[in-house]
Amino acid sequence: MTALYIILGIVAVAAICVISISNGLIRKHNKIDEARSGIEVALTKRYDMLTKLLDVAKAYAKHEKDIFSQVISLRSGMSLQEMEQADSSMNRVSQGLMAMAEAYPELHSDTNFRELQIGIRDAEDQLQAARRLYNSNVTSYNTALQVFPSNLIANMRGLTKEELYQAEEAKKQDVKMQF
Amino acid sequence: MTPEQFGGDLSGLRRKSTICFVAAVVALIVTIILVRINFIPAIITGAAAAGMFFAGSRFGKQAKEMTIPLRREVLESRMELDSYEPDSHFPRDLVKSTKLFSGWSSIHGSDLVTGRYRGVPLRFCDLKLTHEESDGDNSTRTVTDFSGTFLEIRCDRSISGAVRIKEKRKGLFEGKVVETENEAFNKQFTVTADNPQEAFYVLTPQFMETIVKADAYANAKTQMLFKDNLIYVGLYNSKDLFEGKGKKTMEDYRLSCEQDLAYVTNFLDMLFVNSALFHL
Repeated sequence: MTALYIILGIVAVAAICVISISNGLIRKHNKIDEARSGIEVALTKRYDMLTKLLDVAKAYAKHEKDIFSQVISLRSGMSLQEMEQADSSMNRVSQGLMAMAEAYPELHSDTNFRELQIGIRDAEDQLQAARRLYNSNVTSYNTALQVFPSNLIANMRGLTKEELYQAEEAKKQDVKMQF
Repeated sequence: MTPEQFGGDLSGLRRKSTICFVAAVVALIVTIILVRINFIPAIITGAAAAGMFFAGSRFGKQAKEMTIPLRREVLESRMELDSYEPDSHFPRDLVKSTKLFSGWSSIHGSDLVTGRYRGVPLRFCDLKLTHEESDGDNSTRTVTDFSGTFLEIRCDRSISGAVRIKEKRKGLFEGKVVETENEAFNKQFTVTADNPQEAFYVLTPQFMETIVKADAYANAKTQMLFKDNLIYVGLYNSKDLFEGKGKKTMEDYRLSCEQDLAYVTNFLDMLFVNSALFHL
């Protein structure tokens, strides 16, 4: 009888461990989804700001067709790769606009343009934060899939590693130094 | 007043204050003994104790008042000073609302400074938070929950929700615990936030390095709250700003005040490196 209790106890403890590890993995995955939607929100905000900035810039530099013809596609539920592509396109537009502002002093001194520039900078900072949060959550989840004993549960449930968000090399160095 | 007079008067007043306080304690002990033997001498020594205590406070206050113009001068030389209130501190409700310190019930403080440093509006003061704890045998002891410099800094960007950073000790803040990608920072600090993305927004990789450096510089237990467009910083360093203890000459006292202020401004210079929060 004692042996049966011991076996039942071991089974119960094992079941609790499996449930708790499994729930832990689900929670980690939910955090990834949450962070992914954070990136989407930040991308949308940046897109909106860039669109407004382009509208202001058009009034000053109508013949700069290259920059105004660039297409950035955004939609809800984008894959990670699509988000990375949208991010890269926005980087190109943003860089182009900043270069244009240098060439057109009237544009550079436009109050609306300057305010939007600050807004874009904030949106970019938010995007960087969302990206770092996403990658931090992915790293934590991927590590859990690799280490014992959570790797056993992950294999049983067929869970696979998630991809990290790859920022462009130029954008990785967006830490500003001021002294 | 010449520097020599200043030094002589300051140390004279401080000496008188100390003597009065010591005499008050002695008279109080004598009173306690005499109460059991003869009531009338006990009343006389009791009154003497009260008088000595009162005189000690007066001399202490006079010594402090003497140094106020010098403190103000030092503050004005390094920052745009709006006001300096030697006997004021942050209101209890404000300190309570930051939820940076737990367990305290009494608040004491001094040297509330309001102004701008490098164009950034801020306030700071000395703060001491304590509570009474029972020893189990009807006696109580005072436990210090925080003693040091408390700052309120206005930044250029509003943070939604609250992000709290606390040097690791027992007890946690409210909110979700956030693990950053900086292992060394995670080991030294606990970060909690209503919205983890805001924590990553505030804590850029470079800013985390800066906080570690600033914390080492401050040589204190550091606690920070980022909320709306305000930053609250508690530096548990047991420092009493502008006290200038033992300084006998005016120059020594001024130097001591300048060093105390530099302690605060150097810490601020490190925080201002965060270009997302401060557009300097």
